[in-house]
Amino acid sequence: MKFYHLILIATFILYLACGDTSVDIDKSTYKPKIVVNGLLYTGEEIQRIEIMRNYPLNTTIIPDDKYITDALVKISNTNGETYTLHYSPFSNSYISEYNQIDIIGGQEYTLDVTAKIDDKDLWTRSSTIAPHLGFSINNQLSSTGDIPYRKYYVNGLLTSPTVTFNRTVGAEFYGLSAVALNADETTFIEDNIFGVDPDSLEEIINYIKYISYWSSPDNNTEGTSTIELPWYLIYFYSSYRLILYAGDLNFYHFFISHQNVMNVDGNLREPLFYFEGDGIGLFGSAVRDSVYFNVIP
Amino acid sequence: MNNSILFILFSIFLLYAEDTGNINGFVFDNENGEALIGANVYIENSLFGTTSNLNGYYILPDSPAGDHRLVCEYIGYSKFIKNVKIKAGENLNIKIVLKPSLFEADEIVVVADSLRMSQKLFNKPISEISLSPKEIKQIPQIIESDLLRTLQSLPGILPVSDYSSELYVRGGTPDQNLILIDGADVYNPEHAFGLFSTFNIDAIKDVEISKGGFKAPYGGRLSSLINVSLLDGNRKEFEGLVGISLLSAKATVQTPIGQFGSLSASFRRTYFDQTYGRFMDDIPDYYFYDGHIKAFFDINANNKLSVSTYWGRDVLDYVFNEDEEDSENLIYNWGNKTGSIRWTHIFNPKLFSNFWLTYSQFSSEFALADFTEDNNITDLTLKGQFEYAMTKSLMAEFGYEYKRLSYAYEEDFPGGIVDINRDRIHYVGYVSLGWQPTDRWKIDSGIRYNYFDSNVDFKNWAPRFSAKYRLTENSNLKLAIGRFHQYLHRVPRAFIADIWTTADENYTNSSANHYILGYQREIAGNIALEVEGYYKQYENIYSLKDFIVDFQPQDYDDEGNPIYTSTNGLFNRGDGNSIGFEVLLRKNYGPLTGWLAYALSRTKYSIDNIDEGKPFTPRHDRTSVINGIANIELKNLIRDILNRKHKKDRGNWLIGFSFIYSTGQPITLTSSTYSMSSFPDWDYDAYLLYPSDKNEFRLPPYIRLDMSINYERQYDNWMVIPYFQFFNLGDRKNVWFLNYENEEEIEGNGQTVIKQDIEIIEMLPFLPTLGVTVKF
Repeated sequence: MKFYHLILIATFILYLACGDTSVDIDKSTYKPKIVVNGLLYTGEEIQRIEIMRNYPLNTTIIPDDKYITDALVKISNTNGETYTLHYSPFSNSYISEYNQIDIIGGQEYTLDVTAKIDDKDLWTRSSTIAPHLGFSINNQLSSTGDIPYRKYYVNGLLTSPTVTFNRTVGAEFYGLSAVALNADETTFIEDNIFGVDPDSLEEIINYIKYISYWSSPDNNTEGTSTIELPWYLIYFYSSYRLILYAGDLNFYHFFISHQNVMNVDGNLREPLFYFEGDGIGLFGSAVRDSVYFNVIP
Repeated sequence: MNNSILFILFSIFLLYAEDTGNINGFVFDNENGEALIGANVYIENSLFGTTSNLNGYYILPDSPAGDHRLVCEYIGYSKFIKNVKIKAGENLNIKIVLKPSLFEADEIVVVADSLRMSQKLFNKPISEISLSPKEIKQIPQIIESDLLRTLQSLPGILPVSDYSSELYVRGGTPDQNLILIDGADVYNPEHAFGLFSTFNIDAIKDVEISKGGFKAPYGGRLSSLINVSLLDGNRKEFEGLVGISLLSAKATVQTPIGQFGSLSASFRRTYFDQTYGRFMDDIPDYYFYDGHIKAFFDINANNKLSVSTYWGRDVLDYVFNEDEEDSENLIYNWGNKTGSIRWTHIFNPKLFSNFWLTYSQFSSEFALADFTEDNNITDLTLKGQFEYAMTKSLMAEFGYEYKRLSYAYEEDFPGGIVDINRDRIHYVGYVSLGWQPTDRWKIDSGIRYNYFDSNVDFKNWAPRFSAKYRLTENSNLKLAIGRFHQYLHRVPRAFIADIWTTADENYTNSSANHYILGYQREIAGNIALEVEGYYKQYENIYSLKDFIVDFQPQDYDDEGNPIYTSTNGLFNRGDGNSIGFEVLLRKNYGPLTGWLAYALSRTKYSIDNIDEGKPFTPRHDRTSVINGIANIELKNLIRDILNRKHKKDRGNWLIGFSFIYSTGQPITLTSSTYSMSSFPDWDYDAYLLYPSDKNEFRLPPYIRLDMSINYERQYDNWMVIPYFQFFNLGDRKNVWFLNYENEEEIEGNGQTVIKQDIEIIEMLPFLPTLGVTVKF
């Protein structure tokens, strides 16, 4: 009898310990949000403020449907001047079509958006302080022209491409966007540092064609800084366009957090967005400059 | 008034001194001469007893003069009985030598009485559990036995995943556990990216675990104490053990050093790199090793000296593109070194002391491309501990600790440098009084004073109180209350070593209050029932910020790149609490041993800057956990079932089962997806995830059954033990986390659409493994 009980208990435990598990994705977690993608550039007009929507999980998304075309979008400055932006179907964004506004460094700008998503009236607001002018890339000290892959010597020292720039007061970080303009299977560098297989190129091309890099040097003083673009980020014998952004706090925090929401243990964390109400994304400001070089064998 | 108190105390002293004597000595194992920790020593037919301390020393002060029978009992050993004659004022030194029991069950069944079992429970501090290496070895684990993983099967102690050997004790985090190895603190005790702990079971003599409410001699952490004693060494004859598993090869030897002492040493190394690694390109060059050497010197009856050292290291060198001469590689190595010198001195039979000089260092080095990191913490401690048996009913413990902590973290990354280098000193003094006014009561009260010398000084008192009451002949009631302070803060990192910092001008010390109430009862002669309820409050606990954006540089180099030398901006401050209830049924004797446990708990943290400081459930919280451990001596169990007498067999089958059921872990899931590019000049939009509220959901329940089969075969002086271990026997697909992927597809009408794929990332699958151990 005792033995019979033992076997019964053991069988039950074994049953419990077997098999698949299921995870129900609860769609009730979904809350509609106004997704903002907008940067103001000091000394330039307002060019492109994208207003989009988010989607619940397990939804098939048609990319062009994400844009909200009938939102009410306004930008105001500290002088109390308010400008209404208009939707441009050519750029899928809101622009200051009738009021030419030049962004002034050191001034605060506030974005207000009202939109309807999934029959819900939503509203959001975010502010940015534009960095001062004064930032520029020093073309003479930066890498330009033809650069042999991993055989690039400057002053006799083996190095990778560099961008040297004059800092500006008020910039919280310097974000470097590098894009391989001729990225395809014919220009792929097969003897790359990490041994990335050319067969996987189609799957990963967007991850290696577009390079992001950043630095946060002293934001209180003017001076010169250099960012070195490591060779392990270069995968194509191609012309590279480098745009360096001297960004504000919103841009900095968006940049470091928006793609980085999963901890190593798989748990998610909230990205650093600065919106009141129902908004997510970026409304920030920057000063920008660009430089080009060609990576050759 | 003061004179009256002195007079009363002096009278009590005389009363006890007149017709009483002291019995003291050490308790040893007859087979190897090792001192035995926690043996119960008492005078028969009385409730007057004690337990041997960490050195195996016992004292029965002020024992009544006359003829008595001195008894000593210890699990797995035959009962020791000796007739003693105590003369008034005499110190009677009795060396107790216990013989290992051949048939534990029979011995216990013969001698067990309910009073003694309840006495054992009564002697044990609240929330404390002891495990022998034999028990640990028999509990099935991944690939080979592991100390910290075994502790995860005790009620109130949890892992965060199958991939981690870290311990979360009663809602606390791993940094809140004080782990001692022969008296030396151990930091980051992990091998193989946290999968295994650094302790080689074969080198361990004893492990004590306290889940809370520990007494004043211990402190510096908020949650628990894990006190590991390494083997002193066989004092009778040479003894060896070699073993091989799929993970490692290992050897342990013990030998006497003449008449004066003993020596033990162990070494273990993984060998994947030397076997599979030589033939398979994809296996990174990785291995770990550890070892210990301990020498014990029995100088004379009143002086013992032990010198112990432990070292372990993990080494990884991964080359990304082996075809390329100048390919990038990832180098990461880390490990511990500890050393301790312990001098045990008996001033007189009533005043026992230990003095330690300990050293502990954790270091790691990481290098990948243009990123390098050095992470070090060094702990040099001088401490003394005294036990003074003032009277039969009053025992004092007091001591001091001087700890010098140095930690250094250096990181060199493109565009900046982190260089944090600090020295701290921690002074501790404590006193604890144990008072047993009657046979039914035992009261311990103590206080610990901390002075932590940092940029800012911290001075804290930590009072402790515990009381035990013998409710009936076979049941006890226990209570413990205490305040605990911690001056170490941790930067936790999954899979790579944590970084330690201390309380300073930016972050104050953390504190916790423990309130524990327990009930113990003996059932059917040899089963212990322990029920405990607890409530813990945490103040000023620190959580690493999700994004280190407030970490401000203190200086800049010539190019304006930041240099960080302060910890300011690393952590969010918070508070929390844990409440729980645990039931443990444990059987230590007979052919079927093990435990069945249930734990109900709830932990809440409120962290500044997380969800506006609202309380949330941390990832390691589980509402309900059921643990079952069964270790079976198969032949004798069958004899038991058939009502036959136990026998000693030359060949013995040992079967182990470990079962766990727990409520699923809290998790933050994705609430929606949206698309954006990182830079406005990109014509490529990534689909991004937006999370739900923090830990708003729970994963499915975690269930796992493990099994081990050991066959012990005796050949004269040799024993061969082949074994099989089956981890996750039912191959249950326990969920670790969820991964979301957006996939771009072009439909028949040429339109691009984005479809989402949710992938379940699982915990470890069914893992069979085998090995063999040879004892000689």
